[in-house]
Amino acid sequence: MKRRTLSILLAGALAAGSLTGCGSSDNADSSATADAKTSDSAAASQKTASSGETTIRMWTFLDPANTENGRSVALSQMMEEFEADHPGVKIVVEPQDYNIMTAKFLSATSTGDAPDIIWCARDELCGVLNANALEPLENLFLADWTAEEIADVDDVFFQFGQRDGKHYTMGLSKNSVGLYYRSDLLEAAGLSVPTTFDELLSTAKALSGEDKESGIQRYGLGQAFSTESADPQLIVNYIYDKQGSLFNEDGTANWSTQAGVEAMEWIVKTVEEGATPKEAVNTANEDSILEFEAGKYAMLLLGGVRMPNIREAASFDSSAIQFAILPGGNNFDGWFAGVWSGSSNKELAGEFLEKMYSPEADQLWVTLGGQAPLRKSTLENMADFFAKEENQYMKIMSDSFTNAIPLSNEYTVNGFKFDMNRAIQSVLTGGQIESSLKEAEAAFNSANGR
Amino acid sequence: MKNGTYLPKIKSHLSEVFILIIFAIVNLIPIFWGVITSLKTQSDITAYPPKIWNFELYFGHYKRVISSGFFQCVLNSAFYSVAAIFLGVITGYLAAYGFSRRNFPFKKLCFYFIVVGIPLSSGSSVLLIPNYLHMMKMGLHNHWYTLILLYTTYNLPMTIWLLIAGIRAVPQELEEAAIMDGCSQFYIVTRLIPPLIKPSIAAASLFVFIGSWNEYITSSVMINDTSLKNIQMAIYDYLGFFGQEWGPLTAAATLAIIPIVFVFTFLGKQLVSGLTAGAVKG
Amino acid sequence: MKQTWTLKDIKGGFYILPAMFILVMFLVIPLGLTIYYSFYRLDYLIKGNFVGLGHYKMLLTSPKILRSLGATVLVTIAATGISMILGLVLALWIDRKTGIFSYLIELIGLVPWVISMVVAGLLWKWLFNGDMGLLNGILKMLGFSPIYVVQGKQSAIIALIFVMAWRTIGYAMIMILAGLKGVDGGLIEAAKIDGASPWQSLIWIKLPLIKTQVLLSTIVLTVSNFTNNTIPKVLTSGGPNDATNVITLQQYNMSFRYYQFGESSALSVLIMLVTTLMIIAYMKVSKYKI
Repeated sequence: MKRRTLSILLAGALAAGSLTGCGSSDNADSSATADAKTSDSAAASQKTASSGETTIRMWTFLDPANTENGRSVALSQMMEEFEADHPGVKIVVEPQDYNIMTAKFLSATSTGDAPDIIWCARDELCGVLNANALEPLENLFLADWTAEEIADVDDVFFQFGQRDGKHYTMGLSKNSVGLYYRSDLLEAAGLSVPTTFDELLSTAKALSGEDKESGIQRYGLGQAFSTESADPQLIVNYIYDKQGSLFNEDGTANWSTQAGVEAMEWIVKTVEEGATPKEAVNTANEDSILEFEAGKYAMLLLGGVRMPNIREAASFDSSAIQFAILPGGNNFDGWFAGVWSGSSNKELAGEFLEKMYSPEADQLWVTLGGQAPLRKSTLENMADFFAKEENQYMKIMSDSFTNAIPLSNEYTVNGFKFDMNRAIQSVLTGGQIESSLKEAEAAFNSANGR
Repeated sequence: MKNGTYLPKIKSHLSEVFILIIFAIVNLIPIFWGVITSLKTQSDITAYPPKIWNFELYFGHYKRVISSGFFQCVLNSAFYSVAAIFLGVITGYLAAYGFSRRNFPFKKLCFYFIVVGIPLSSGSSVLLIPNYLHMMKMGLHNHWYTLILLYTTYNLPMTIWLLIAGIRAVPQELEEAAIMDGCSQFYIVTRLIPPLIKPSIAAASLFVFIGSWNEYITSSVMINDTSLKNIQMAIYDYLGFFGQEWGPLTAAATLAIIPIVFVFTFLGKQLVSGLTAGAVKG
Repeated sequence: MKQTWTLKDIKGGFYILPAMFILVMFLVIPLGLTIYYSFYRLDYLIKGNFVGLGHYKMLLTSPKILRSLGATVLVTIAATGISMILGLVLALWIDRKTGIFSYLIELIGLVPWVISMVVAGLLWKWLFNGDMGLLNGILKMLGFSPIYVVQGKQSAIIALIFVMAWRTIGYAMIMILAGLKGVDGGLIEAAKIDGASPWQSLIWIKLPLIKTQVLLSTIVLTVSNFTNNTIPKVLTSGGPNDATNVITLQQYNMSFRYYQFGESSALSVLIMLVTTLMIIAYMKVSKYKI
């Protein structure tokens, strides 16, 4: 008996040794590296603290370490310049997932761990302002600006960042949801860029058919009605065009109207008449981009910021891809950088924010990042650059901001584009137009506490 | 006679191979698609009709992924996972031993408490923001140990349960015999039982490993420091604001599978062949 | 009848202390916070009025939430059921194999469980794509018209169940296999000698012996599928028209899209309750003893 137990124990001990042996050597290796690393960085941060260095933290979706992306390269160049001008100051970008950045920022403000500079998406800015999380730019640098300088940046973004006479942010990475089109296909069909909804539909119908080169069944207009599509669809343009606003005075949705019904009927028509494929009902922006790059669409509804990436990935001659303003005007979208009101380095953070809006920085954003300019003066100073065919889209984006579909920041508009897409999905899967719009209104109002 | 025994055998072999092939195709087709996408140039990725073989091999996406510090993230993830396995399996084992071999006050209550904890094992987004606030208040977010603690926590309830099942399979008489032989309780817990429940330990380790290796949302909320990034954060980098960058995305995901194959080759052996001789039941 | 506790019993409680400490620190306290938040309006994390059980009432009377819960339960049960049944069949099959053959099957089976879930979901969506996808490419080659899988309400649900089951079959297989390997071969031999058919020995000997493995795998997969919002988010985007809007996707959107943290906390608590009830139901059905 005793012997048997012993032998079991012995075998067990050996087995345990082999089991844990392998695992622990693995562990020792990686933990050593991680430990060394963390102690290093801890030491480093202590050192910087003792030598009086200041760190400005910024949360954005851009990773300055990314050398493939023009906007990231532009940002890292600005950081370098700023650090060179301000000895002892370090800009630390902590790249974030843009889906959760704002929720994280709002949580962090309550415990004092928020970054000095935050980028908010358009739909979230109102809530962030409600939380008093941003410092008015007038307290930082805007008070020193001349009227001319202010006029230089004054556009729909600048106005959206204003509340009670103070500006909290000015807009970065400006986006304009407009119409991508393939100029070669339009030319071949002898058509011009559509400017009304009727023209858009007839042009799209005319451009539908089999693509001779690849054999793909091509549709005139790519739309994406998925509730994961970040870009507002044409229903927004249509309702705005016909009734002037998507919302009532009190911020409730105003969609189950004559204009809303017409808009929905127009969208149904694009699908029924074969200008837009049936599968658009649950296509997301990302799918439609892949499909556009494959040649499935002659025109596509999408934010202009994607242009450099799309040209790079297209499977056809990408120089023919151009950008236009939609009927009803483009939806403006983009990012709004501000300084956290609880930051202990507001002055410096403000200086870096100002730096990102400077004329020099604007040139970087434009030339490296392929972005719409932040300043009107940039458009003038670089007129030759914007006149080039491959850069025209940036000017068109910029132009679209002068009569973009406006939004108020007095009330939150969370998820309005998703709720409207859900209404479209409901109609395209057999629902009644009016009741679908009513449902969407109710969903929007309840989600925004109205 | 010979024909009579061989023919069905060959037939059954053929059908087994057939099942294996179907199984392999269904299981691996997205992986196959991901791997060939990672080897295509940008314009081949978006080409119509989709290119299955007639594309030019291109390693640029891998180069880009590797040069963006991917291996640091792999190392971080390996460290988080292995540390979570150790912390989780050790504390889980002790708890499992307590639950299966001892009777103490509030035992049932404590066990139901663990049951309530299980939904959190994979649905960590459910408590995310409260947890973030809590971790920030304690100053425990954005450290090298942050994710280890959380991954251990999220997987601990199921780990305990898996290990309880293992310990229960060990006959109590074995422990009694060991005590009669003069072994200490310490010896029983640390030396006698663990080798006998190796398959359960391997199953629990695998569970914690996958839970830690494939976790994204918690890490993206809890971690700010780029040097602490884990592998899923590195993969999600290619799903960012610039859209789905298919080439690097699939390249990163392909690279992320490789360590798992090694882990499985090691743990899987413990898992499946660990109890072959019937040493315990016999 | 009052139970008396011996010193050994009390000492036995010490075994669970480290685990309990971890769970209390990082699970119970956040859970407590979640419950606390669920009683308030907390839009954009700005603390508003105390609403008591208002959020719960709102959620439980909302047709959208109830439909979402229904869809989630359907998808979870279907995906878990398929995984468990196929996993069991596969496990019984390769239980008889050894060497490279069984290693290969195990590895192939496990790959879907270990690959980055978001990438897997995206790749499936691509494979299902009407023009760019492999599935429709093959259909077209064979002369059929393409199927738009994630665009129809029913086909989207089926696609979701398929991908979820695809992900978890391998896990079920390995866990059941581990249980089968633990079954004493002598018992099966003895049953065979007593004239039991393979079918009988499966039902009466093997299955009861691997009961715990089956229970635990079922729980793991149920919870994993019930709380999986990654695959619905990338595969079907919860659509069309909310057909695949599973409850955790709804919860995620409440937090990160609509910033209604009060409502989303209440929904979190409800999700926890439903999942816990499902686990307890499994325990009762399988007569699991603590």
